[in-house]
Amino acid sequence: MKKGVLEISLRPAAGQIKTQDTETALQRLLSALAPLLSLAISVSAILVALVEITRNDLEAYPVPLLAGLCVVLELLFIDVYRQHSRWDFQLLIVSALSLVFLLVLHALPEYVTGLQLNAVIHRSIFSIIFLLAAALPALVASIYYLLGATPRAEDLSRYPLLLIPPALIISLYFILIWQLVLHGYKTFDWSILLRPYFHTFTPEKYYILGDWPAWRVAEHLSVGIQNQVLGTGLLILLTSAISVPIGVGTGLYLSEYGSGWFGSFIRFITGSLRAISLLVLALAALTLANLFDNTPLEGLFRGTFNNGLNTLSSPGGSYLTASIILSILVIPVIVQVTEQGCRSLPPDLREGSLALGVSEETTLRRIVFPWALPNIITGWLLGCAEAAGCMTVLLFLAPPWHGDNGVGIFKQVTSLAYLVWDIYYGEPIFKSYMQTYQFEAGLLLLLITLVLGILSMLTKDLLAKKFRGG
Amino acid sequence: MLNSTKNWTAVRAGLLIVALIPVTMFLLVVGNVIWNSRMAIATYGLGNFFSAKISGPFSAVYTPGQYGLYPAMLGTLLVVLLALVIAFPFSLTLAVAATEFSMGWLGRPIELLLSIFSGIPDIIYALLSVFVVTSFIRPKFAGIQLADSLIATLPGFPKPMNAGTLPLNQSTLLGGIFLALLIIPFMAPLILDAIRNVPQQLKEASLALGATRWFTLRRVILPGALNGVVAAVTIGLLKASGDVVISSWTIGFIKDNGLPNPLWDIFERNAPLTSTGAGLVGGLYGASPSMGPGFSAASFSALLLLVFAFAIIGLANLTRRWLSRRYQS
Repeated sequence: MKKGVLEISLRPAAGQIKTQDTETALQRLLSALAPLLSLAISVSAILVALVEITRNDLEAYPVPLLAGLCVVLELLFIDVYRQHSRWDFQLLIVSALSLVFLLVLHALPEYVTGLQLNAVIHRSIFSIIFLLAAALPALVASIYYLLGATPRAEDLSRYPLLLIPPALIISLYFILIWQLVLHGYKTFDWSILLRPYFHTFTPEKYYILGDWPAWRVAEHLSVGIQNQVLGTGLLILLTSAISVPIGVGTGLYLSEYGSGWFGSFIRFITGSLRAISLLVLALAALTLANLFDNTPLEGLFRGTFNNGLNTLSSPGGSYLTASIILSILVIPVIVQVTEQGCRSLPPDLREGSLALGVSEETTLRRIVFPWALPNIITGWLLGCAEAAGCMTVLLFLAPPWHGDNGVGIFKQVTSLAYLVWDIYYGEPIFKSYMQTYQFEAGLLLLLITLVLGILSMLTKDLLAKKFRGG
Repeated sequence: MLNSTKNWTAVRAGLLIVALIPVTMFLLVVGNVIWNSRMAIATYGLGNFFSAKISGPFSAVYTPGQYGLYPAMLGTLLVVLLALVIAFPFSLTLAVAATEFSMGWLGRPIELLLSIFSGIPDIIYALLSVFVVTSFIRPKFAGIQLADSLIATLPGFPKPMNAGTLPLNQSTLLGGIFLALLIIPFMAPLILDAIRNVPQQLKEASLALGATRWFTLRRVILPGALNGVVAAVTIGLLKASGDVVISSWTIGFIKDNGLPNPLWDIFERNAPLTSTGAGLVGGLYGASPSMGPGFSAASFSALLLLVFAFAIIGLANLTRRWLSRRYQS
């Protein structure tokens, strides 16, 4: 491809020099330099704009760059007329625009306020917008004319428009994740993984906690996140135990018998389960936890303490409640992948089985289900990641001192995701002792979900090879 | 497809019973929201909902029983539109860069990255927002170099008392940025699939007639992929309007001083319906959640979100039908 580009770019220039003997040295210099100069200035303008996103101290550069763009685009305009004998007024428009931007930017004070906005906006925000708005069209135009203004050059000149935004957004994701890894690594502490959070304070003692020496606090308190890590695992297990049978059954029903109106009704409902707001699910979880108050079932849905001291009795919900509501999120995923897997079964296999006299049930069990199994496992792993990462369902369920409780199906619920939330919005004393480990908890949660997600991608191909033969 | 055989076997009946469970769950969840919001509607009436100011558990003056959801509705609209405006160009260019313009080697890595990013939980995005606050929001929008007194003397700054409430760690802008990061990995693959599904003959015909690739992209491929674009916008709207954690963490819980002054003020803490509902129920700062009028008002805000979601789904279905009819004729 690169060879072709070079040929295209060189051909017209060579032709020009031969035919126009009368052009002066200055004109020749202009025609050689104008696109190159505008390319250089627009590239540096874009770079300055991108660097300026996080810096305030580059305010010396935008005005000269915009002035340079303005002049160079006019030179390019003249040069384009000489070479291709056409007036490219878009160049003039961009040039005029950069002149306007330059004047506006020059007139702005360093901090802009007004319109009763609740912010003091720094000038560099405007310079970023202005630089990008002027430099991107200039970059496209200069690449276009540098490559000889052919149709192929038009395609090539659009690459920056299509490549800069994806590169930006993907690098933003990576920078943010890298920051999390960095901060989590800095404060990483293995010992808190093996220690449950536990305290023997009574409510009255919280108030004198500030006066205690550190050794006295340590006597009554152990800081750790073991129960949160184990709780995440239990949530994953319980949620998949509830949602996999229901999801697979519904998916099989939809693929085998779901071609009528009833099938599309069920399909619409399961699709809508994904579309409803997470707030609806959080409210449903709180209602379910409250539903059996003052009945024998209260302990199952409310959850019990295992503190042994019974220092605090806060209402909450059990792991069972949380995973019933979480399975509402996971079931649609499994239904969808199961149905896809069953539909991808070649009809020959099914017909062959039926033709040999095998009953419908056996065909379903021995032919259709194994074929869909790789999809089901992929969907199950994705659902596990969802269950580990979903905080909203636990929002009203987990009690304030959630590290205190043991881990069990009927214990009060907690998870790593809720820990991250609670360190920000939780009980102040809990917050003050756990704040150091916020990024460690976030990093662990991210690792769990990413490992599950990557596993689901890997297993899809591997299992497909195993169960479907080649 | 086995449904040609009409006989009812035990397997079919069993599967039907299993398939009815998600339907029941859906009906129960929606019914729960409607049932619990009846008290809020009966007590305050719809009119009061739209005019009264919110006094949640955490506002300075706590007078229970006044829950005006009008600011929250505006907040939802603002933050969702902002997230969509930020996310759409990135999703579109990601999809185009992964499929068209002869970049076959870019397609697979972009798809893998998107599917990895789509698994990141929302709480992680919320946790990460502190880095954007310190490196972008504070230096650009809060005048970090200025002392509070200096902000007060700035020419044209209307409310000197406001100096302390400048957007430092919570604003609609921050929420929009992180909701956009949340929805991009879900929007881009839909557009990508739609671009792949545009018939190859159409592209080849356009290229054979001498059109450039850029022209083909704009006039043939993107109009052909409009279905996917509609689906992507739909899922973006649904996910952005439904997320509780990011909007609570980056915008805040309750807007208790009425509407923002310019209605589009994205630098204020204009909480959307989701985080307003979460704040009304409570359960924060060590308190336990309440089942009182706050819960009922939260149910009503969830009901409004449900209505919004199903309106979006219906609108998307209508648009898709209209598009397919236009595309075929």
